[in-house]
Amino acid sequence: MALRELQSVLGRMVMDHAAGARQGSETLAALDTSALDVRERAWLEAVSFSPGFALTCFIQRWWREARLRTGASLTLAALGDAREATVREFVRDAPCASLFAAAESVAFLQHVEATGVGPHVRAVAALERSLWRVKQEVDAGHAPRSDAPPSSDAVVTTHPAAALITFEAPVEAVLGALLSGKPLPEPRPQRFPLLVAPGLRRSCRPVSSEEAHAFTSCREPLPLHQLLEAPGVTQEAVRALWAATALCRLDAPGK
Amino acid sequence: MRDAFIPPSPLGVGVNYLPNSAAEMEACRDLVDYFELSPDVLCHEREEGGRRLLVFQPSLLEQALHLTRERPWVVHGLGLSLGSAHGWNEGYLEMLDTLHARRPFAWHSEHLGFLMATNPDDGRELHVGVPLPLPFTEESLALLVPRGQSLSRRYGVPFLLENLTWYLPDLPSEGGRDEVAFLNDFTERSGCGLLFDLYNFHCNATNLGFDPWEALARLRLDRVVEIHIAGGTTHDGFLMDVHSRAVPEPVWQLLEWLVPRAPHLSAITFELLQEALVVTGADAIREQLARARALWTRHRGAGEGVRHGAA
Repeated sequence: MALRELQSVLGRMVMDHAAGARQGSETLAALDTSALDVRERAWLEAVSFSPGFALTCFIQRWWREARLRTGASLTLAALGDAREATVREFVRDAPCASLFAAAESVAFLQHVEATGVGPHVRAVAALERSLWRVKQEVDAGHAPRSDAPPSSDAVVTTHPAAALITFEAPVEAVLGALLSGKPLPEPRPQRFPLLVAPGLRRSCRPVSSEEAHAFTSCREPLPLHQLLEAPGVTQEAVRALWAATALCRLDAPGK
Repeated sequence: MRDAFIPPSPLGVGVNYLPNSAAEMEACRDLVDYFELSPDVLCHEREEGGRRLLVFQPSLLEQALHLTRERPWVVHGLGLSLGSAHGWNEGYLEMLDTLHARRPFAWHSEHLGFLMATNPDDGRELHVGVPLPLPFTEESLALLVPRGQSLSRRYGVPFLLENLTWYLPDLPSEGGRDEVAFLNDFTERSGCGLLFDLYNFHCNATNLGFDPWEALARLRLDRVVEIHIAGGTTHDGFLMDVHSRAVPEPVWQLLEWLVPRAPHLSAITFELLQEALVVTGADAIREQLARARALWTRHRGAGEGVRHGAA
């Protein structure tokens, strides 16, 4: 018996069937099973049509969706009626990579950030994904700092776990509606920037247009004095971003 | 070469640690002699250079250490993928090394199954997303026996293999083996012990149609170190090991039979899924633990196990 090959084929059959991509029997027919003997192939064929196989695949999918309910609850709420179709599409197109809620959820949130349809959906997905990033950063020991900004010739850039997310309605109104199950606010022409950063209490807060401008001005690394000299960038805004750990030195990324 | 089986000291009755249920864990303390910890649930998973790394979430680890203070630990893994012919999860073992250095555990257990396999498309790792069973063959034993021995030596405590629930019919086997015969061969050759999950066993007997009493009578009872008890639900006519309900009466009956006959039994653990706590409630946990303790005391005596103020 070729245990490795048996597990490989069976595992792939479960993945494809659970994802709704194709039936287990279709996967079996498409794969090279020359390393398996006649009995093994016959067993896999019989299994692929069994109720137990269908249940196994149901369980796999149920757990994937449970992880998303844990790790992407705001985005699922924002998707509204499009929720089922979006999850189905993600499960079909993105192979299961992990039993951990964070890994599966981040992949789903990236998918929705790129393809989501509906008011506030992409912004909420970006927020949720960024919050996961910050949590992992803090758990990895990259604690918020309390020191003053570095010397003026230090090269700075945005912190890898920081993000600026633009909402089309006040963030509190959007999140409040999602958490209470009320209708989402209508998108407005104004923009409502939200900063996510490891140094912030609750990891995020609305920011002023000056802070937003200062943040976007150093997505590409540059010496601090150049940042402070850039049009529209204020020292106050840079200090606030540094205190929030939204910026870091290029030679000490993440710190 | 077979290692000697050294049974651990009796612990008594315990429960699986639920990381997001501090109040319920505190409420259980007076009824448990130990906690069973699945360290995976305290971690993030990260990929680095193509490898899986498990990193503890500091707040969850510290809370676990605090809530389980003054109680021994046993570890029950979820993500090692012990039975993967592709290779087991090294990141899980590195995480367990970190935990062991922080606080030792009385034994370590894992499931008789696999989560990872080789992707037939590109030869890389494929994560199935649900534990799948192994065939009851010599090749499976050749894979598992040295791994079990390696785990025992790595941590200096017994390694226990847990029987899985599965729904695939007619698992391939050799030599006329069924699951019980396979577990017996594993323990005989490896010197490891068993975590016998009576609810999983009950599910398999119900779903696959074998006589649990006949099968149980053939099990190497002297290698049963820990017993899991749990309850679940049915779906599409199958009994499922979701660990979401109180223990059903058939499982209590199996436990009543097994406890006096397993000479090296050290622990009975009631298992409940985190998500099921909302449905089941803390009182139900206490009822299950109380009943398990009464059974333990009746058969093992009130003096066995580590006493921590439990009734």
